[in-house]
Amino acid sequence: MTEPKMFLAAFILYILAAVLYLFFLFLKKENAARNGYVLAAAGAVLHTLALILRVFVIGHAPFTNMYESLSFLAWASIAAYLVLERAFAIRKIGPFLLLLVIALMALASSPLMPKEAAPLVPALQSHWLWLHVSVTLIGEAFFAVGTLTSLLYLAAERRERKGMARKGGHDEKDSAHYDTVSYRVIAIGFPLFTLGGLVFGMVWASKAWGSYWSWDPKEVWTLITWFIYGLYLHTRIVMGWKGRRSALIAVIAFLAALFTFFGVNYLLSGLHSYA
Amino acid sequence: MKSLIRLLSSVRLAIFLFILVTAASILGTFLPGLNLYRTPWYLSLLLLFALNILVCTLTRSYPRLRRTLKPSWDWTAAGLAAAAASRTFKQQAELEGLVRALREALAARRYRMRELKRGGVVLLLARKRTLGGFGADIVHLGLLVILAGGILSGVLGRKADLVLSPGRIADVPWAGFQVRLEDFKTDYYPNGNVKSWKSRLTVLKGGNPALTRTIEVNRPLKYGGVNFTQSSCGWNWDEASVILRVRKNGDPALAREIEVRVGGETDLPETDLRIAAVRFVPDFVLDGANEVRTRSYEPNNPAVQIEARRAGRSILSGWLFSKYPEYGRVRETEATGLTFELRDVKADQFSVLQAASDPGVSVIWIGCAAVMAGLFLAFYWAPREIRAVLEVKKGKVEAVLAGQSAKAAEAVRTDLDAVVSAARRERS
Repeated sequence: MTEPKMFLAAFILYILAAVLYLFFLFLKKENAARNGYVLAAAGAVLHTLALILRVFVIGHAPFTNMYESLSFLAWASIAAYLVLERAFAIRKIGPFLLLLVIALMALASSPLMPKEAAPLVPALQSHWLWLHVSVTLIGEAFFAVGTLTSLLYLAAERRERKGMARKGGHDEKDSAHYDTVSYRVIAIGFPLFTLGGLVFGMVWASKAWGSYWSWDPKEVWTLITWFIYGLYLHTRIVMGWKGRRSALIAVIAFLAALFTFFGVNYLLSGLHSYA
Repeated sequence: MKSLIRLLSSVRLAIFLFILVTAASILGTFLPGLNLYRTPWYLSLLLLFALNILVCTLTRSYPRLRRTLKPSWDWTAAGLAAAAASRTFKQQAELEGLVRALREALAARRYRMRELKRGGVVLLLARKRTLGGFGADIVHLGLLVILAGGILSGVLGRKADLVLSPGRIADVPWAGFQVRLEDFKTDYYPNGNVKSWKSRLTVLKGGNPALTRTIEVNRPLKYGGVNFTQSSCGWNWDEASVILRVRKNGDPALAREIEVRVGGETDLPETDLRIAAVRFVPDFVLDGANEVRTRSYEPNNPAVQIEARRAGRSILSGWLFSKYPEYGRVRETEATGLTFELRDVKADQFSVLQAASDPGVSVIWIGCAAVMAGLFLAFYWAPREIRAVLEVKKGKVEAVLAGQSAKAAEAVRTDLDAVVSAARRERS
């Protein structure tokens, strides 16, 4: 099977998994979630093979254009979810995460994203390409999971507040759980994002550009994203913020991460013009 | 003074600075013309942030360090029993035997212990991953080191762009040695994209070659504290020459190629004509006013303006394009029957190498290592603490244990259960 076919097969499996997870969400079918997990895992295996195959075909790291980067981010997000689902009991995130992954895969396969592998420009010919991009995107995948938990928290909290108004009492379990998981997942992603995005980025920049920091828009936006996650962690750990305020900061931080990933490329020009 | 320290150690100030620095940085990316990140007020914002971090870290880490090194031993059985994660059990056993069993169970879970006997009461303090509690402090100190490195780079860092044509020598102004570019080569992929730029560089010390190395993007040369990186390159169009192919209609014998320096002229053999290359542009474009300009310094659309002269009088002139021979426009005032083509352009490539000495770089790497170590400690190495009180009451030993961990509350509960059941099993 060729790489595009494998990618497509993974895409289809993710869609089927999403359908099952939606059955689980709306019809409360436990079995559906379990089968959804299996399908998503099978999709991830095919997706892994597709990425490996692409490396062999193009002869370098598979994140040198938007198609490749989006595909890798989708892969990292599904992988992070599959690893965390059981440990953190976050099955209800499944349908939303799969929808996000499907969106990323759809965007990757849209005609807007050039797919042909261009040979590497001189600046990208380095092993740091592997480390810098993959670790950053894996960190962002954890942020993606943490953001979805935050959004689910906001939804659960709203529901519980309304429920309380109706019944005069409420069960905090759902929202409190999402709140905690959100923090724990972001706390896994933060060191990875720092390592890949900032530290590895600086080391590579000093080798390739002769300067570890150039205030390039992508660099600054990585720093901005890092600051907002820093704000999230400090308000939480030191000031004891929880719940809605915390969830909102997490969502804003992820929007900044998305802007760093997409927006900078299209709206701001700089040294990272090829990424 | 005291209120200043209180202000600087406040988390509120930190939050305020977080938001301010973030907002300023965002502004800077959308208004690149401002060059905001080098303005005094952005830098003073960063310095204020650094001061805030320093005071916060010192005021918070000291008590934590003291607590770690000198525990207070001030807990009681009742206090522990009221903790969020606590276990109480009574057992028919000797006090010392049970203490030993507990210590063994804790040691099996890699806790390190201290013990205090007070009257008939045994206090036990077990900790693991203690260093994790200092992760945040290490991160903060690492950030200060990075900032110090940045200041060092700004103050002591030297940087120069060396523009070198092959064979030329450039002085590295502050380093006391020179470099000579031996040759410069651009390699291309089959599709025409650039594959690599290679500058072969010789370091000259007192005029004598000390070392020769090829520099590429991602393969810098470090010599005598100076880092040489391949920064860019270009063509020396001012000293280019063009190769023209000239044919005479109906006279295949006259087809020949001649080389003309831009700005110069040369004889067209077997005729009484001289051919001049009046002007050359590497990337031809007509601007709004129909003036010829070059869009870039890359040879994307090389074009030359030629003139043919007879006895000093111009009889023919026009533009030739190497990529679009059919669009050449040549006007004649006297019929010559000649057609011209721009076959090739010869220009030397020059290489731009960045020479940089930056004593801040190694400081930056130390800071980065500290930040990463601190982050992994803070988030992946959460400290856990179990405190216990054991006491003989009515012939039985009563043990109360409480676990505490801000970032691994569930793990410490698991530890508690495992330790309690192991200690009890040991006894029976």
